[in-house]
Amino acid sequence: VPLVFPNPPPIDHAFLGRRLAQIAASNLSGAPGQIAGVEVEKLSYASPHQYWYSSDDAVIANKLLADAVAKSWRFLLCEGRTGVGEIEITLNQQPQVSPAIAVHAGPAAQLSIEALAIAETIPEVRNENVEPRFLRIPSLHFAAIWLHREGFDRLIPISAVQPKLASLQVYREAQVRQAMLARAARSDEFIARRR
Amino acid sequence: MSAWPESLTSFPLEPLITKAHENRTLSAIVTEFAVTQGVSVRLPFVAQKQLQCEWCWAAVATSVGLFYGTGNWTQCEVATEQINTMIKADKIRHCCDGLAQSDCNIDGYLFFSLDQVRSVDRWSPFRPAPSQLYGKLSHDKQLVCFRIAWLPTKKRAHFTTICGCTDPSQGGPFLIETSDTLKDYPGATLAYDDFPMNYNGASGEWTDTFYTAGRFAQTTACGNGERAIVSINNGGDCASLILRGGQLFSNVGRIDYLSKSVNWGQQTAVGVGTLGSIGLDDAGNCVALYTKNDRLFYRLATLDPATRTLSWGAESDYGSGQRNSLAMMDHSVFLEAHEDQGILYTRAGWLRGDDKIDWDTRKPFDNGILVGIAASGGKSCVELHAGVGDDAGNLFATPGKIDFLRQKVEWGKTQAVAVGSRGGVTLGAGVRCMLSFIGNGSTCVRSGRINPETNAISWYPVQTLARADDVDIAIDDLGRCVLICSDRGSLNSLVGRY
Repeated sequence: VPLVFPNPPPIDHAFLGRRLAQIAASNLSGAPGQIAGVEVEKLSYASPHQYWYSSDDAVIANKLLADAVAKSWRFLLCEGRTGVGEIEITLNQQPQVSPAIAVHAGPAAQLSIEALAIAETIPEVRNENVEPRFLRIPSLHFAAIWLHREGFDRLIPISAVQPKLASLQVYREAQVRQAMLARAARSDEFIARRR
Repeated sequence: MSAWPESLTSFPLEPLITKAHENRTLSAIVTEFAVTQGVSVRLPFVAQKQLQCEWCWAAVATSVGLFYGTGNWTQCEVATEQINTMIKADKIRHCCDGLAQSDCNIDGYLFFSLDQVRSVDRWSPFRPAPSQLYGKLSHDKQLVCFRIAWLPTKKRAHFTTICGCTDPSQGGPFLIETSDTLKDYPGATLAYDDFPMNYNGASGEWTDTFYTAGRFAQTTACGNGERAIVSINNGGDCASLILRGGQLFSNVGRIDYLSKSVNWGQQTAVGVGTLGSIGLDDAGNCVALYTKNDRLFYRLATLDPATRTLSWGAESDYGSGQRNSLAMMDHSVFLEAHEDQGILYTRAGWLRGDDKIDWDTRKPFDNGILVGIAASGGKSCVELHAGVGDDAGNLFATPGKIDFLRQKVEWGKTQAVAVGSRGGVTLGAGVRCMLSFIGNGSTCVRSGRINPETNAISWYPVQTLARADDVDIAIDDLGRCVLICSDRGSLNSLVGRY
């Protein structure tokens, strides 16, 4: 198996089940009985991967991946073989106690599945095990599947917000950094515009 | 369908929930939570995806304006105005014309953008309490927008909108739903306590809250009458002239802009007549106009600041005509318009201070019926009238520039502005113009903006409100307005804004 999904630390499953029931019972994230706009009975969740985030400062410092921080665990929600949403679980210092749980709908799940399928076709991935991660730089609106093992990193953006980066194409870290550098460097211009 | 990654395994979600509830059925669990959680609210709001990577502010404002129906807003039009007026006023940019990648794709202000789309209520540096947030969404049906500064640097920020939440009074977890402008991130459902520390895969800090509002609040009952005219001043006072059974009555109200309601007082008899108009200025001077047997009459009063009542002076005849209207201006001056034998006339009036008015000579300006007049700042005015003959059933508006020295109004281009019967017109400072009229049995409101250079009005789309038989509107210089509607003999007032 070319992509190796890591095992998450122990999760408070009772809390997670209650929180999902609370969301399903409300009219948030879809009508009552639904999560991410789909009937709960039709939903499955996929092997989780870690959610990492990086910053514009890291881009400027040429440490886009080196300074990335693991934030949470991401479970893709699927209806059949189509990605329809995500469950994001952020563990506390005590993993079994009340994690932060967020449910997202939207195209990121399906795009991630497509990116993972593309990842499996990369020769370096087929030959040696690689850990898939999800990387987001929220301040730069960048999101990608990050393929990682010691000495090997590739990024497959799932949204082409950056004009120089195409969605679902494989890039090296340096290429991504170069594409985002100018925008990251402009961050100081925006600090005052609060209202 | 695209290929499924062979490395990816999936598991059914339902057991994750049922196992946590002693293997009871999913429907039983959902039903139980639905009862114990109370009524969650989710407004039918979907944020537009931002068309440029820096345009979360433009996308949020555009989406909110469209949600409240205040205009046919687009992101590039909002961005164009904001960038040229608030952000980089050094040269004119047209952000709908392909410049968006360079000059236009920049950060902007949400508050001013919401103001542009006429959907801002107020800004706050504080995060709302759960009960306050629930009240906004559930009771007021109002969206709440906010700014997140991304940690750890806080150099970059993002605007987004809360469109749904659970009922915090039931003791369960307070969950919220956001609707986001990001292309691959339509929003999230999560606990309020976790937000925005755990949002969009990162950590954010809540820095600003933007309360939004539609333009009009709920109606407030204000007595009975077949028709009523309303006037407001900049001090929060409002006066109405009511027709009921051939008799005219006045009423004074105090506008509470926070609760968006009018506290009306007791009605006072004015006399016998047909409406008519009423005008109230910032000094408390009040003029009532009405007609009897094709003659024009006025009475004057001064608002008593202590009792908030009007004591009307003697009735005065000032000529022949029907359907008279007036617009108060500064310095005890007002503009009057009326109809006489199908011809529309206007003139200025001057309050002498002895319960009398000095009148300019009336001047004809158009043909029509049911004329209304509005003025602001002693310089601008707008007339509204109903067409006759082939134009019957249409309302026409004309902007004008007042020239007191020459005792005339320089009229601009007349435009057909609505299909409907009788209407009211009002004009505030900053060239804000509003019309009210009855269309298909409902109150309709239309806002416009005068271009002083061209002496023409750009009109926004018509907004339809509650059922009514008759309606009038008045605006102050800050763009706050009061509508008064009659519906089968009952009068209602609504507080709103431009």
